[in-house]
Amino acid sequence: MLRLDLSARKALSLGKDAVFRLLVLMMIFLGWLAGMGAAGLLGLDEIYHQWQLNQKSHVSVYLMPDSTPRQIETLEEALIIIPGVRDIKRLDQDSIRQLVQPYLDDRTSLPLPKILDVKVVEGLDRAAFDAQVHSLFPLAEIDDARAMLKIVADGVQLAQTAVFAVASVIFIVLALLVSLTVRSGLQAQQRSLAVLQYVGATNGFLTLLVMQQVLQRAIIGTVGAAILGAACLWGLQESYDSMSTYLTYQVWMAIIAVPLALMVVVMVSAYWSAVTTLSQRQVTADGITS
Amino acid sequence: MITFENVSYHYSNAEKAAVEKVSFELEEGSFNYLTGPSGAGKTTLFRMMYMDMTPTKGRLTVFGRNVSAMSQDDISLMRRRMGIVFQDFRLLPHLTVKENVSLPLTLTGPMSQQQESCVDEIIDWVGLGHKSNILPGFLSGGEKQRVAIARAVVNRPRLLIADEPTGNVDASMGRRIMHLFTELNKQGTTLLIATHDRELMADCPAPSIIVENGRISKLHAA
Repeated sequence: MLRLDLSARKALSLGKDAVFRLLVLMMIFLGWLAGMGAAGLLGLDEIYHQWQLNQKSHVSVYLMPDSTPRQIETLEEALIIIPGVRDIKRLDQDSIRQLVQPYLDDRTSLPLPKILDVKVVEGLDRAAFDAQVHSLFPLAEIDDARAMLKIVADGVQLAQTAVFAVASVIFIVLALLVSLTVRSGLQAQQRSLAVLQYVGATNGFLTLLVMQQVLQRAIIGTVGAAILGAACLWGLQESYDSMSTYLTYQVWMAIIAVPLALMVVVMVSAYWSAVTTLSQRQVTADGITS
Repeated sequence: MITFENVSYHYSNAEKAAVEKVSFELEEGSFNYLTGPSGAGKTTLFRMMYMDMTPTKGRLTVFGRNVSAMSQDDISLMRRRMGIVFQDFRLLPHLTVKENVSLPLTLTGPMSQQQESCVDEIIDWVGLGHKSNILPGFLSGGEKQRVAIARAVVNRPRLLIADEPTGNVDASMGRRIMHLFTELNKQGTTLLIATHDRELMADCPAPSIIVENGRISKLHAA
């Protein structure tokens, strides 16, 4: 990039424009907001995937406490041949006690149900599975987390779409703000622009003056937004131990990448605004362009 | 260097042309005055010379190029070879005297040590060495005029056009400025000065282009 003399930079100082002076703060705030949104989106995705991996391949069958080992064996033999069933594990009494303990309180004398943990794959014939269970154990309960997973998946997708929409709005708003700022800044400095052109400044040179000022502020805003976002994530991680599982490398990268992407949007918007504003300037009768 | 061929300029809101069918040529290395009564069309001719306006009719060439066919960037690049002194100075109020003067030299990057020295030298020469770091708002009309002149000559232009360059300075400074201009002219700079000052024209004789009612009425030899 062409190095610019300080006098040339001072000659066309957009910093005089009040909105332009706020560009750094706007970038920090909007960059942080979009970065946190993206990090939240990725974190939510990670939570969902970890839970999904844990839940989607298991169906639990709760049988009455008085079910005999022979009846259970018969059921196992009937279920294992259903398409989609891979394995059946009978939970021992200690595991069941641990599982149901929170619901029993101090009623330890209550008989415990029998539980089958059925490992399944995609394509399970759920109707045949249910029919087989209920034909042998009419009062059995079948707990299939996959239905819930579908609802949660829809919810996650909705949240992701909402975050994406908000982030897009942030990007558009910032692009418009920068465009407006550059345009109003150049409009406010018609005399300086005219003098610079009288001494030989080309539109390319003037655009460079604008871009350099925008770039300086954009870098500060981007770094500020990334630092603020990283500090927030670090605070969350320190406050909640369980968070560190979900704060993956991608989440941390999002906190940096989103403000960087915002900087690119700002620079493109500034460039386009400067080029169009300068090329549209018209000479008026008093010799000052507008 | 500059050639007007049947050039007319008609402002969009005016009934008659400000300049009509003007033809003359400024030869390279020449020194001419442009004179005539107020409203005669001098400013319009001036603006066309520094390519602020293009003729509505006719052909104007500057440095051998047709102004009507030039882009804004071509014009800006062409102006790097020109020095322009405006009657209303056109200084940037937020830049110091030194920054204003050095502006034409900053367009191609940071100034060299030699260019810095040249700026200081020219500011000293116009008698403003002690005011090089103050803003134009704190200068008198004459001092602003001298800053405008320093800015116009700092890059040793091939063509210098000046609108009433001595109009706001005292006689002694006027003579110094004219001495500087004639020195530049001797070194090859083409010079065109718009003035009403007959005394000035008598002190530094040169051919005059007289404009009346938008037409060139006479081309006076010195």
